[in-house]
Amino acid sequence: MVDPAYGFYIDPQRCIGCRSCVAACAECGTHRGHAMIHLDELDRRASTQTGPTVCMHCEDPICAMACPADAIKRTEDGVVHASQKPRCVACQNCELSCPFGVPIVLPGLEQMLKCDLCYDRSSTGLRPMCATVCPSQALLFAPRHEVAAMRSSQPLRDFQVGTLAIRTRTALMVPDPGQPLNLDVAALLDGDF
Amino acid sequence: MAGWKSLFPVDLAEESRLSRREFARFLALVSAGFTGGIGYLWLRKKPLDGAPDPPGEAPATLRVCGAGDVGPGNSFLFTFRNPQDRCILVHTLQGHWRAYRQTCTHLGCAVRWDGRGLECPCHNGHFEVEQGFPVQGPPTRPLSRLDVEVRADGGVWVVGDQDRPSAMSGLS
Repeated sequence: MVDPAYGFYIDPQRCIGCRSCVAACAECGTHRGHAMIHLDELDRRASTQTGPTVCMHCEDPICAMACPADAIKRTEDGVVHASQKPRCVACQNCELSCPFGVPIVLPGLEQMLKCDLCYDRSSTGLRPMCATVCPSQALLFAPRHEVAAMRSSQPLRDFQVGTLAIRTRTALMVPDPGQPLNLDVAALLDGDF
Repeated sequence: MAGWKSLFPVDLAEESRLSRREFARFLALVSAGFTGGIGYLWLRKKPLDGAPDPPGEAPATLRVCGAGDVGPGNSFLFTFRNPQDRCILVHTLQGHWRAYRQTCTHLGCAVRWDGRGLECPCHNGHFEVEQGFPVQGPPTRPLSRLDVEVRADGGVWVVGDQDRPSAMSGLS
């Protein structure tokens, strides 16, 4: 069981795009050699900014609600796991439903895999692979009460997707976490990127 | 919470949880299943008949052996209707003569005299010797019994097939 006092924090401002997390993620024993982290260049023409995406581990996981095979389960520590192999039918509903774009259905494997907080490590007190290698600590796995003192940005765990309010286990570090962050997924899809 | 959500919980711990109502329903259904199954088996149970008669014309009578040839507590093997119709003659310790077909009513192995009763060695079935009823093991039907007479000439004669005993005659 992952220590509930520990939180996972994503700080895109600190990301330098080195892809260490992607390489380390594939090394994790539960990921079968596949990286579960998406490292995106946000606007490559104008900026060097990159953004890592790991699972936000929603308190009411949309991927699990969308799963017709009942394959996505959450353990009592709030970690939403990759699909259970005997159940997953690789329908990609989870891929389409997740507002953060986390689940991956790998062609050939025919199973949804996603960031599970490196459960084999984090459940025994170790940090997830990405958090151990991130040189700028843009991916941080730390006790919740220490984070506020460590950073000028503060954790944000509430998001708004259309009419759906989402509260997550993983936090996004933002300068001003006053309001729930409104994720306009549709606007992103319309953009010219 | 919607009904389907409780059936397909997101939380792994909820998945193996069994409510009191579900457990009671499970018990009731399993009990009903057992009761129905027993009733079905009772309805289609096999009648307590002996083994079927073998084909072939029965000789009217057959002299098996002399009465002095088989002492009390011994047995004698013979064939009755045809060479495949193997039978066993038993001279019990009480001095009675009994004759049965050797075909075990379970799976058809040959029964043998073990000194106290008739024993089928294949699956450890036992028949008591007075009427041929099964007393132990898998057989549920009595052995096919032949009528025996000890005649004045000193010979032991088999004089034909006996009517199959019923459950009631066995209990009485």
